[in-house]
Amino acid sequence: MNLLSIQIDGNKTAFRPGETVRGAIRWQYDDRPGQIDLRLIWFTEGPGPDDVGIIDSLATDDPSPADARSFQFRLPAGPYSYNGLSFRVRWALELLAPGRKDCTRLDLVVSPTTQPVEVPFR
Amino acid sequence: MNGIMKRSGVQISFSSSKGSAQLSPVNRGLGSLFFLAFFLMGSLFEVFTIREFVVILRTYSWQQTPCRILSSEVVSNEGDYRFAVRYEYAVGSDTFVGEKFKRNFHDGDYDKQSGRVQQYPVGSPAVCFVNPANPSEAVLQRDSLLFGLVILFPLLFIGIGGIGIYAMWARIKPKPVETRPISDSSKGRRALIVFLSIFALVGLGMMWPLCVRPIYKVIDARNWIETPCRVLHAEVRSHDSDDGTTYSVDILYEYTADGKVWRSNRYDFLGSSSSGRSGKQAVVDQYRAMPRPVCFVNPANPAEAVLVRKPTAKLLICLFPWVFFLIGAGGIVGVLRSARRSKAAAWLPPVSDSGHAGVAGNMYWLNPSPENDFADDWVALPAAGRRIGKFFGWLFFAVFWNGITSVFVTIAVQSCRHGHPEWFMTVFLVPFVLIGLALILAACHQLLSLFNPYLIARIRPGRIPLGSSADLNWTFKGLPGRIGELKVVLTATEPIRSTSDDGDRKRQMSPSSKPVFECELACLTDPQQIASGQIRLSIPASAMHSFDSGNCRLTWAVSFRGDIRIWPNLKDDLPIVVVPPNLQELR
Repeated sequence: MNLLSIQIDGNKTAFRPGETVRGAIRWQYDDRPGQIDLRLIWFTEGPGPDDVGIIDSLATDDPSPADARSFQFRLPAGPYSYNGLSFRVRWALELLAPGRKDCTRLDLVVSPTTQPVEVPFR
Repeated sequence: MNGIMKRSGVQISFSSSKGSAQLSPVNRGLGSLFFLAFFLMGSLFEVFTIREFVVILRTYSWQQTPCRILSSEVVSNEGDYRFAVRYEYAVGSDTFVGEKFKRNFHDGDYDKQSGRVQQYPVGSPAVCFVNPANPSEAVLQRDSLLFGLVILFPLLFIGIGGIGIYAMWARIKPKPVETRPISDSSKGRRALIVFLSIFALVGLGMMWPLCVRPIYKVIDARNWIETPCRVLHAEVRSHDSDDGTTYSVDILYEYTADGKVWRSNRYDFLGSSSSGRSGKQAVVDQYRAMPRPVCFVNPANPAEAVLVRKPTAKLLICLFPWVFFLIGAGGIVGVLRSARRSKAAAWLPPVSDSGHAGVAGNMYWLNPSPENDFADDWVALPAAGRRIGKFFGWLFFAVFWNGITSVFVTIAVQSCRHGHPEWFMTVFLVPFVLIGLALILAACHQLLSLFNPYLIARIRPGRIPLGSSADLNWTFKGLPGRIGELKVVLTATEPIRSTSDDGDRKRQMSPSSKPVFECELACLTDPQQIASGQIRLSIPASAMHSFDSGNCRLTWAVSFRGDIRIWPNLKDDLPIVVVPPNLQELR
């Protein structure tokens, strides 16, 4: 059985800019997966191609078939999570095993109110 | 928990993994059929092209064999001219007679065939290429390996068809989200570059025959010698094809150069056929009746001559390869530029930093300088450069559109003047002509707006944190008294295709730039207050900051909207940069 998972401390998924995201990643394979990458990203969803910003990443080279790692990322000032008229800005933690083409993602919200900024502005 | 943990820096990329909007089964079926036709046509053409290229490649392994030319002449073949050659060669003890000049050899202009007669005179020795598997098969010349470039052309159709079909069905069976990393998009970018490269290569491939060669000939022919000639035969030649019948001018003429008599049937340098018989008939009648016609002879090669050496409207076809090339090359540049946005905080548009002297500078985003970004000092907001850019943009578009349309309008007008109106073409052209007129009006409107009062504005600070205020001052140069009323409006827009979102991620696109925020800061009628003034603007704390990730943008701007009597109204949008309040500390 193959398994990739991300767990954030306190199961929190909404953060303010500047806060720290802490948690642990786990993977379980029958043999060595080659490499495990954890990335903190924001990305857009709109009519054109999506833009992606990789804010930070942690790479584990040649890990054992099943293991766990703790992680922590400090969130930058922006961009905020945003639900606009024509596009959205979203945040996520993405855990990849590139050699296995496996990936899992955990959506986050980053904004001063811990809710995505909505339109119209008031 | 142990192991090597490597931390990497910040980067930005784009992913093309977006699926299509949700489609009804009927639309999906129709769309699939449309793209399937593209795909199948492209595939079929590709198979034929590859097969032909393989055959051409094989001739390069054929045996070089000495031969002797038995006969060599130009013969008329239903209005075309053909190089008819016979040559004798020996393989072992057997002697063969070959009649094939090239595998893919077409009838054509007289002087081209005549040149081949000069190259292979009767009785002269030559070299032919003999198929070792079948010695009775031989050619005098092998086809160019450049034919291989033709293989690229059907790939466009295959690509459009394949991507279209994929887009139609991509959402039906989506791969689990977890198996498609958003942050790994290099494959999509590479595929896009390959696809765009094909466009650029096809454009380049067409550049020589359709653009470079005809233009070179037209320029070169200015030095050709005007020579009296005699018309031997003149008619309008018909060419039947699946798209209908087209016509070309066929005038065979004789002239003397370097003490020898030559013949040619070249009318102009493009030599293509087109619809509309009457125009060609008029040319033919003119040459039949002409007492002393002249042609222009290449002094370096007297076998080469032309009746009309001036550039004609047909030369506009040289724009055609540029369309392909610019789409391909421009797309590649766009993809590479998008990939290069690997900077920290690349989502934030930089401040337009043109110094603090109050002079409007470059309109486009510049690289931010950290000192100025956060300095509590005045920053100039550019305005006028955009007006000039808009004018030239409209002008270029109007000239380009009307230039192409005018070719067909000329044909339609000439057909009316000669009493054989092309009604279908005339009706078909009406919307194109109307669009052309609208473009000219737009360019004129933009030209007049260049003479509107010129706005010089400054803001402090250059980057405005959400929930805080900024000072804005402005001065108008160039008769601000013409402005009857001036409104200053704070706006935030998403300047890309707007969508409606029903919560189920269903999106409809329209080409508008919808404001997500609009607030009138001032409405002035006093000429002195309009001419120069200062106001304070506040940004709501709960709003979104400025955002520019390449494909998605949220732009804040101060819009100056002035009413001017009997003149285009003034509308200058000055972009400002709104940032998260704690940007500097959290960088």
